[in-house]
Formats: sequence, structure tokens, C-alpha cells
Amino acid sequence: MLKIENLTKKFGDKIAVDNISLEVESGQICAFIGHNGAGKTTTLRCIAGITGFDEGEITIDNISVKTSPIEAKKIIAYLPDNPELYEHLKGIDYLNFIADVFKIDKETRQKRVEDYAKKLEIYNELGFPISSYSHGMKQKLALVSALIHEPKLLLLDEPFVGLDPNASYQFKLIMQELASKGTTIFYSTHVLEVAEKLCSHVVIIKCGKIVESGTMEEVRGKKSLESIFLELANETNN
Amino acid sequence: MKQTIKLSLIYFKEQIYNLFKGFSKKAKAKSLPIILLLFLLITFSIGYSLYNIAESLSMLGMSQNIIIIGLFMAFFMSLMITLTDTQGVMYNSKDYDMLMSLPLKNLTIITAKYVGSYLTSMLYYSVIALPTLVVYFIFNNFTALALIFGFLSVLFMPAFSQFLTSVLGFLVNAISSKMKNKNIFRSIFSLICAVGLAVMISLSNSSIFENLFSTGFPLWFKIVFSNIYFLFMAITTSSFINFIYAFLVCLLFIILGITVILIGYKKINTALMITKVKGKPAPIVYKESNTYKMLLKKEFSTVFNSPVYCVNCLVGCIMCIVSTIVTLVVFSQFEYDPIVADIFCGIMAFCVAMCLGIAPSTSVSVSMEGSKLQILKSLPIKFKSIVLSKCSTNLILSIPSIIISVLIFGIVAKISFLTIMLIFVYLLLASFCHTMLGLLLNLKFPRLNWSSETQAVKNGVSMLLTMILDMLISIVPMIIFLVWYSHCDYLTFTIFIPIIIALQLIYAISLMLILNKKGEQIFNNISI
Repeated sequence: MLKIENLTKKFGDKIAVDNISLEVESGQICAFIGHNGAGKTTTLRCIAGITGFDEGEITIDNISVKTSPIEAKKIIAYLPDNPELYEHLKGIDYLNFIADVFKIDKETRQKRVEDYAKKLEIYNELGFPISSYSHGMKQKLALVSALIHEPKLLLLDEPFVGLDPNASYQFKLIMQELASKGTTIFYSTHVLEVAEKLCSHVVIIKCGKIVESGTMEEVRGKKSLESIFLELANETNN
Repeated sequence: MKQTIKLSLIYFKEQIYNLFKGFSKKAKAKSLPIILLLFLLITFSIGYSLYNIAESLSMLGMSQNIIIIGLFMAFFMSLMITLTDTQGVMYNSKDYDMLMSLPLKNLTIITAKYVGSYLTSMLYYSVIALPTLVVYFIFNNFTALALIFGFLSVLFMPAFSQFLTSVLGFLVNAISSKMKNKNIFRSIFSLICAVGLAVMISLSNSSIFENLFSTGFPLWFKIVFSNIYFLFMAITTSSFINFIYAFLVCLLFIILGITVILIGYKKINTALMITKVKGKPAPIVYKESNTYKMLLKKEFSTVFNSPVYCVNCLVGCIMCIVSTIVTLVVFSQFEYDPIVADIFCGIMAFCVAMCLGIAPSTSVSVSMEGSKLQILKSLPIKFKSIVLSKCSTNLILSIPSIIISVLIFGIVAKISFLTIMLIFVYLLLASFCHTMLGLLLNLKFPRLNWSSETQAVKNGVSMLLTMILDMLISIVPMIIFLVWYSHCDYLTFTIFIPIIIALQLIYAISLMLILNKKGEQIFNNISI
């Protein structure tokens, strides 16, 4: 589903992502972990078509992000780490906007909004302007908007930040449900315990380079993901 | 004190120095000379106009009055340009929470922000004030002291306009903070202030100068415009005392301005940041629409929810109507003559075109997206739809003012239907070109990391470049027209304007082609 080949992204002289390659199959939940500034967000932005890249190729369901960005964007959803939304719109107006972009018919959008918004406990707030929302509520709204077209690839940048325990739990269930239906989920996180329980696969990035990747069992062996991560971090530092 | 100075410099740097934030060294080295050259060109044009006025005044033995004319021009111009700046920096800014969490006094924060804005205003002022002083020194005998006072006076000039914008900003925000739809009210109130000021300026200008030149300075003028009066006296008489008075008045205005902002600063800002949710939420309605309509709705709500952006977008439209009325007032002072009517048709058309180019919404519409640009970039929205929605917004805002201006002028000046239509077509094309150029420049020079909307709207390279280029593109045909008219008997406006329309059409097509060919690539390369 998601294939990255020799991806390199530079910001001036600084190499943010250095020749990385990875593959995530349909139905996998893959955690993307790394220290601050490792290149997680840049990679996710390159996949989402927000940021161009210098070298390499990204394909989503065999559609190139570089040559057919609109087609690729039609089957993905991206949730940024800090969801800045159009504050002067009401929650439902924002969801209608996103649904219009993806050409979701009225009945389907109603069904999905009701389903996801109720699960995440944001449904009753949809009639209020987004400017009145807390950070967590904005995050929930952004999550609903990301799920509204049931994308084939879900790109999430630290999705659990700001969510209350119930929403966090519900979202994990939604992720598992989507994955069972064949949706690929590639998400960055610092919460290693959650990643360990939720994900089938893991990719560890350090200073723009992938230092470890594979199934969760392969990567961690008999240790915890946290100890593997710390070992790898110290190894490269030393 | 140290903290205030440090913070002031940070604000000033944020507003001006950060114009080039994100530019590569190469791009910076390329852009800076172009911007400086365009600035010099504008300053030179203003200086040249003032020189002609001073020449006429010197025949009447009143050449020293050029200071008053120049400083008034600078005052009104900077007042219109910076009307919403102070409120944008002081109220509802993104850095409010961060600053309030620091162990700093409100006075320190406000003073720093005030001084930062003051220094920016000084730059706007100096574009008119410096050529004014140069022209004055060309036509008058002067002492070394007068020269020093003259150039030091630039430091004092924004005091009064900054004070006025602070009072207006305070009133607008204090009232709006009590409303439910705060942002809409802030925009409406700011717009009312802008319209009021524009009307006041256009109505009062001629009467002020008539009184001034016939009976000298009236008492009210000495009180209201005390800083201009004392500066005038200090420069023309090399009076140290008057210079000190000017300094003290400037200081007083700054203190008063800061005091006004200090009133309820925390309370107003807190209220502005909270969206009052009263009663039941709006019903949840699922309605299908097309992407273009939704994007257009989003663009309009962005315009009308930001006072700085709203006033900035509409100030050109307001100025269109004002400049039409001013042209008609001057025109009415002449006896009706087809040649005079013809000349005024040209002046009106080119002046309105110039006003339309003051600040097209597209010149900052990408910057206004800020970090929300990633929403647009991650969605499968075609670049053409984004361009279309942004351009339509500016055209929808401009077209009513074009129609009103053309109708008022056509009816009052009794010009033929053909001429009315030609002016209308020219202005439509001019507005279209301003829109396209603004968008192209904003795509090339977006300012996405801003802490207050003022930075996105007022202190971006794209806005400055668009304004300067639009003005030049509109003023050049006017100069050619006037020069040509005075030399060729057979030239009339109805012959001249189709040529300009044809050129404008070529220009519009070129801009469209550039936007079509390069726009998407530039958009994709914008990093957030």
C-alpha cells in the first residue's frame, strides 16, 4: 500500500530525511518512532504531499505522490500533530467542507459523522464554532474529518496528544477496526507502550535515517520497545 | 527598561526583518535591491510631485508650507495604512499566552509592542516625509540646526497617528469583546473607522489648506496637530524650543497611547480569546456543495473574521469611491468643457485603478492560511480551484466599488455610454491583473509563520511588492496620457483607453500563463 524508495528531503544544507526506504502493507498498523527532530513529521508530510522531496519515490496503492498527487491524496488522510482548523467555521461546516472535497454523498457523510463523532464524544459540539473548542476537541474533530472518506491510508502525526482517556481508547478501537477492514495506518508516536500493544509493525528513525524496521516481534525480540528504542538511540550517539 | 528595549527590538525585527524569513541567501540578495529600487522610485515620484507643488508655492512666497502639505500627506497616508496595525499587534495576537505567562509587567509588554509598531510606522512615514524635507531644503534657506531638526523630526512623526490608531483599536476591541460574534464586529467597526477616516480626509483636506494659506494656523490646528505645528516651527525658524515642544508632544502622545491600551488590556484580550457559546448549538445539517463554493465561503469568512485583513482588502475599494468623488469635486470647479471632461475621465480611471491595486486580498491570502495551509495541501483539491476561489474573492469585493465609481462618475460628469463602458472594461481588467499579480507574488513570498495577523497582512514582501507594482502599472498610463494629451491634438480618451485595454489584456494573459505554468509548482514547494 505505502512504498517509500530512497526518500531524501533537504532543508537548505540540512538533510531532514536521508535516503529512507520502507514498505507498509494493507491492513497493517505501523508505528513510526524516533526522537524529536528525527524526521518523522517531514516524512509524513512528504507522504501526504504537503512537502515536496528532493530524491526518491513515494507510491500509495501504486499511485505516485510526485506525478499524481491529487489521485494519491484521494485515498489518504493526514492528521497533523497540531490540528489548526478554520476556527471561524462550525464543526459541522468543517466536516461538510472535507466531505465535499472527497465528494461523499449526504447519507454516507451523515452515517460516518454520527458514527465517529459519537464514539469520540464530539457530536454534540458540532453545531458550535471551532474557535470555542479546546485542543482535545479540535483533535477529535480533525480525527473525524480524517475518517470521513474512509481512506485506504491513514497518516497520523502523534494522534493521541490531547485526547481524553475515553476518546483515546475509542480511537484505538477505531484504528483496529479500520485495519481489519484493510486500511493501512502509519502513525508517529512517542507513546511506546501504546505502539507496542496496537501496532503490528514498527519503524525507528534517527537523524533522518531508518535504524530499525520490521514486525513488532522482530524489532523488540524479548525486550520492550522502550529498551530497544533507548539502546538504538544510545548506540548511534556513542 | 532593558526588557522593554529588548522586546521592542524583537517586535520590530519580527515585523520588518522577518520579511525575508525563509528566503535563501540568493533569493534575499536578489529581492532586496528590487524592493529598494521600487521604494526609491515611489519616493522619487512623491518627491517630484512635491517639487512641482513647492515650485508653485515659491512663486507665492509660501514655499515653507510644503512641510505642512508633505507632513499632512504622510500623516493621512500612514493613518490609513496603519489603522488596524496597533490593534492587530495588541489584541488577539498569538503570542499573548506566552507573554502573559512570563514574569513581565503589562506595561513592559505593551510598551515594547507599541514601540515596535511605532518604528514600523516610521518607515511608512519616511517614504513621504523624507522627500518633503529634501524639497523644503531645496526651496528655502536653512541652517545646520534646521537640517538636523528636519531629519530628526522623522522620529516624532508617527506619534499622533499611532495614538489615534491606539484609541480606535482600543474602542473597537473593547466594544467587540462584549459581543457574541467578536471577529465580525471587530471587522465591521474597523471598516467603519476606515470609511469615516477616508471621508473625513477627503472632505477636510481642501478646507484645512485654504484656511492655512489665507489666515495662518488656526488655534484648533495648533492643538490637534501640535506635533506637526511644532516641527514646522522648529524647522522653519531653527527654534530649539519648538523642537523640544515637538519632542514633548510626541512623548505625551506615546504615553497617552500606551495608557489607553493599558486600560483593560488583560480583560479585553481574555474576552477576545473566548468564543462565547450561548444557548443551543446550531442544528447539524448535512448539505452537499461543490469544492469551489466551500473554498469561496472559507475565503470570505477569513476576510470578514480578521479586522486587519478585512480593512486591508476593502481599503482599496473605499479609496476607489473616495478618489472618484474627489475627482468629481475638482472637476466641478472647472467650467464644462469636453476636453476637460476627457482629461478627467483619464484621471478618474487611472486613479481608481491605482486604488484597486493598494491591497488586493490575493496579495496576502496564502499568508493568511498560516499553518492551516497544510489542510489545503493534504486534500485532493486542484490548484486551479484554490486559485479560482482566492481570485474570485478579490474580484467579488472589487467589482461593486468599480460599478459604483463608474456610475457616479458617468452620471455626474455626463460622459457618453461608450466611455463609461470603456472605463468599466479597463477597471475590470486592471482589477483582474492586480488579483493575479497579488496571488503570484504571495505564492512566491508567503509569510506563514506569524504571531499576529498584522505581520501576515501588512509586513509581507508580497503585499509591498504588489502595492508598488500595481501603483506603477496604473500610474504610467496616466502620465503617458497626460503628456500625450498636452502634445497631440487628435488624441482623446476614447482613442487612448482601447490601446491601454489591449495592453492590459496582454498583461492579464501573461499573468494567467505564468500562474498556470509556474503557480502549481511554486505552491507545491511552499514549506510550512
